[in-house]
Amino acid sequence: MTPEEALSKSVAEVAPEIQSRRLSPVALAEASLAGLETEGRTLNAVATVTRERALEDARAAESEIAAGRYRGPLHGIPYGAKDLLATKGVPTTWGARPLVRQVIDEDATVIRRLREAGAVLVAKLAMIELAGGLGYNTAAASSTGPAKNPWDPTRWTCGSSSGSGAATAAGLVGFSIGSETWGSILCPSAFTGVTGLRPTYGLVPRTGAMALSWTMDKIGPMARSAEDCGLVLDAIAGHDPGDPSSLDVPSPKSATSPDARSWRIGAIRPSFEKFGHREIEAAFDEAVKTLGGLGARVSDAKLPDLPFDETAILIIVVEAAAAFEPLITSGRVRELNEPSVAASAEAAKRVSGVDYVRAMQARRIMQQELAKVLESYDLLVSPTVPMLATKLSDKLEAAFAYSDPLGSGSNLAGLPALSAPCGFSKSGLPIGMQIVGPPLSESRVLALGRFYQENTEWHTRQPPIP
Amino acid sequence: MILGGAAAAVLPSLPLEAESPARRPARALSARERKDLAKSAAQLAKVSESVRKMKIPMGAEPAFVFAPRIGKP
Repeated sequence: MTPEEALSKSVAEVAPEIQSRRLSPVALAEASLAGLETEGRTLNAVATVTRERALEDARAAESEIAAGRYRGPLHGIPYGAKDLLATKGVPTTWGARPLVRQVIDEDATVIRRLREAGAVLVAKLAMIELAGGLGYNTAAASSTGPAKNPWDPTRWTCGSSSGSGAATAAGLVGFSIGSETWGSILCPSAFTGVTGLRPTYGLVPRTGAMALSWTMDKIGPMARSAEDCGLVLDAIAGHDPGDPSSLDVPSPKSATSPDARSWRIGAIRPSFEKFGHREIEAAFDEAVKTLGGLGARVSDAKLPDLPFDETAILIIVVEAAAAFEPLITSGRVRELNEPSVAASAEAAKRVSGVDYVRAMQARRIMQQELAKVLESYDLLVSPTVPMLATKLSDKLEAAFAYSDPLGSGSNLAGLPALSAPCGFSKSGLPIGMQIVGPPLSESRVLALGRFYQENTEWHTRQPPIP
Repeated sequence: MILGGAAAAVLPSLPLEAESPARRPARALSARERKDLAKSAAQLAKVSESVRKMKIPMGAEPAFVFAPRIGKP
């Protein structure tokens, strides 16, 4: 396996090559860096290439493995991190022009844990400015420009983990780290055809990560398979006293048997009559048939009629306005690419405290109602997003004008979710299916993802070489 | 995160000048920004109204989590 070939394979496939010393971590890092400097820049997927640090870590990995000290499946694997995770000595820009020179002199806990697992950080990846916390209406709302989709460079990757989606899909990194408040791991995973895991709220510590919404932010992997997401989760999950919201519970282990044959699966079908693309409906129907054919008991499920989207919006905008208060009051929000941010931030500050607390009361009820739904099912499945990757020039307010109760509700309740490719449009754009489970059911969510991927090949497809 | 939904047709008059200096943005909003503010404020008002309409029992516990720090800092 050449380094270039290895970059298009899963971590699970590449790790034995590294362990057996048939593949050099230094050569792999060099290949990754070369791709990031060329295609990565063309796709607007990269904020900073961490060449010096990457080669230092890759050489250390090579020496350790040669000395018989193999750390595990991430040892020597090049990866990229969304540019909201602090990295010592490297800019951490939060995707925002006013912060392009920001250097935070410590590694985020996730970065530190990945280094301890032997993974090699090769790049800080592009993102929507401030992870879109103050609203955005175009793909260009990023200090690095609109991220281009490797499947069709005239299309967007979705956000806010836009570079993580582009770089992983294009085979520039072995895996990447993204973050989600509402949709920011799942949507880019669906648009770019990668497999992304949004962990249970609090499972992965956020120490050293930009805060957008303290009660909703999550960090998770974006990779080539559910199995790879599990390998990365094993390295980054677990309590950290630096993050008061991080859970002090045993981490769900990914290495469970992917036998999902007896599970009860609830299928949530969006109303494609109102909004969405029929090719997505057809691909999702086929995925449901596949699961049923493999022995899972699939039946249609419904969510309660509650204002999930509205509650999520209120909580996020208020917390974001507090999180970015210094940028707002100083007027530096006007340096962001999105022209309407100063106004939307001011509007967010005007939401009353009573309305915020009321949204948090509503959230508690929604959490209970979703728990009731999940008493009848082991897992829920649904199209990740009801439409195909949007054009780079699209106005997002109109393009994303659909109700997303499973997305908003599951984020409000802190539930884990996986997006896995489940088909392609006639025009060659990826389609994603999301798998949602109860809190801390990552083993189950990943097991269904693995089960599906062991019986399909959508996740192995690669974008055309430019 | 993207705010969806149509803005209200009538733009409310917003009392920017009456606010305390601490809450005032560093530079006064431009005409375009005031229009955007009115649109965003109308969207958020509509969103707040949807949540207010939801039946929530009086005294329902909000989804806040606070734990006292036990032991040495």
